[in-house]
Amino acid sequence: MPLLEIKVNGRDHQLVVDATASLLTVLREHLHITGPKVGCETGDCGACSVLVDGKLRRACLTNALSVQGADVVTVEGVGGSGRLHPIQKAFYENHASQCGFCTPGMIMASKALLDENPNPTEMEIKEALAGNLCRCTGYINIIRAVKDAAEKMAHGGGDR
Amino acid sequence: MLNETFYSPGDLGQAWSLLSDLGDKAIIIAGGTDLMVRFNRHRRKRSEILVYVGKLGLNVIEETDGQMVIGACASLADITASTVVRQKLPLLARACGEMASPAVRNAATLGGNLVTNARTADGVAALMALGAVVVTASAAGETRMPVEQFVSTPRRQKLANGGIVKQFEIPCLTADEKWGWEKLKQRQGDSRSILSVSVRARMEGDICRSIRLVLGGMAANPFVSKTAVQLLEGRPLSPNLVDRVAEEILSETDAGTDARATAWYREKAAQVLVRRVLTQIA
Repeated sequence: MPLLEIKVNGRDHQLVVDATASLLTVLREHLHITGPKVGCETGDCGACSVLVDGKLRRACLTNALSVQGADVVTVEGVGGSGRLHPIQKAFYENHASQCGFCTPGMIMASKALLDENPNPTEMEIKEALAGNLCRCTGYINIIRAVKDAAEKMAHGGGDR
Repeated sequence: MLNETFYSPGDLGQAWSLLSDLGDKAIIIAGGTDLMVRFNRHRRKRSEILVYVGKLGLNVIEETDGQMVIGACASLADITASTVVRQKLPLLARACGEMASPAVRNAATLGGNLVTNARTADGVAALMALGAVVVTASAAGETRMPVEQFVSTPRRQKLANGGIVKQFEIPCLTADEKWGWEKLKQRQGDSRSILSVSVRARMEGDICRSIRLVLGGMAANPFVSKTAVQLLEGRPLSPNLVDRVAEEILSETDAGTDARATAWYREKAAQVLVRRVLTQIA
């Protein structure tokens, strides 16, 4: 079986994977990194969102071997050891999480947005999160949290 | 001897050789956003071997002498963000930017949209309206064919001898050309088309000199309307004529019913969107 070399949250890994294995399978079942969730596996829900070389991707639709050598960041990798990233903090402070299943994907989509556009409008936030579904109907607080994070990061609230 | 289950050729020569040797066993994968849905549900057949074409340098986006070249592996996100595409082919930038979600657009490719060619493939509809040519390449050389011909040609014929889709060649819009794009969807973001109407037309005052009006989601594939050509070319775009096109265009459609809409609704909505795009270019 093919060999995959990949960096996840700063750590290098080498592992043997099936040709059709998704990045999500590799993260969860091989590396036991369970922040990215198994939702629809059709790319519709966004619960598995991760950054691959800085770009937001669906881990469920990403063939693991197609990102050979890539630098992957999951929700586990956005904060520091025992320290929340400003986006995570803003989600916590704005009650942007209810059951929490969509939260890892929401945070990664928010990070991808703020990395590229530190001062987004509300419409830009909505567009950036359009592919992330929350079934607890928490969108208002999520949007509020992204705005709050952007503001705090702009004022030196701990950009990472 | 080919004994691996995944190959990632580094250049076109390697890819042709591999695909030619593997024949029907080869499954070409690029962004993976369609194919991985299948693999998430069903195991790969033992005979199937994946050939990843994302390392072949087929992601070029460049304009030369009024012609845009877009590589088959250019992502929908890169096409949407490209300044030159937004300026010279705004219809394509708009259609690509309304497909799926940001994360999917970062991976999905225009070539993949053509090859999977869903009934409602927005990228294919936009390419057809723009008069794009598909360039396929194999060890035997390159072949060019209009998108509508590619869509209706059997796979064995159009991608013979290890051939792959290499790029699209699209004439850029000129100053006397207008365009329109309307997509009916269930919600604003991350939504597949219920149907789409796209148009590219050359206008001289209010006279329509040439027109390519494409309906997506109204037949097995997006198609270029013959009704629009017959009724509009050489005539002024009057409100009465626009209404007539919207009515008569239904003779070319074969709308289906699915979870997103009924055939009845699609027909009613298609007429509205046709009127809308024709009004945009008037």
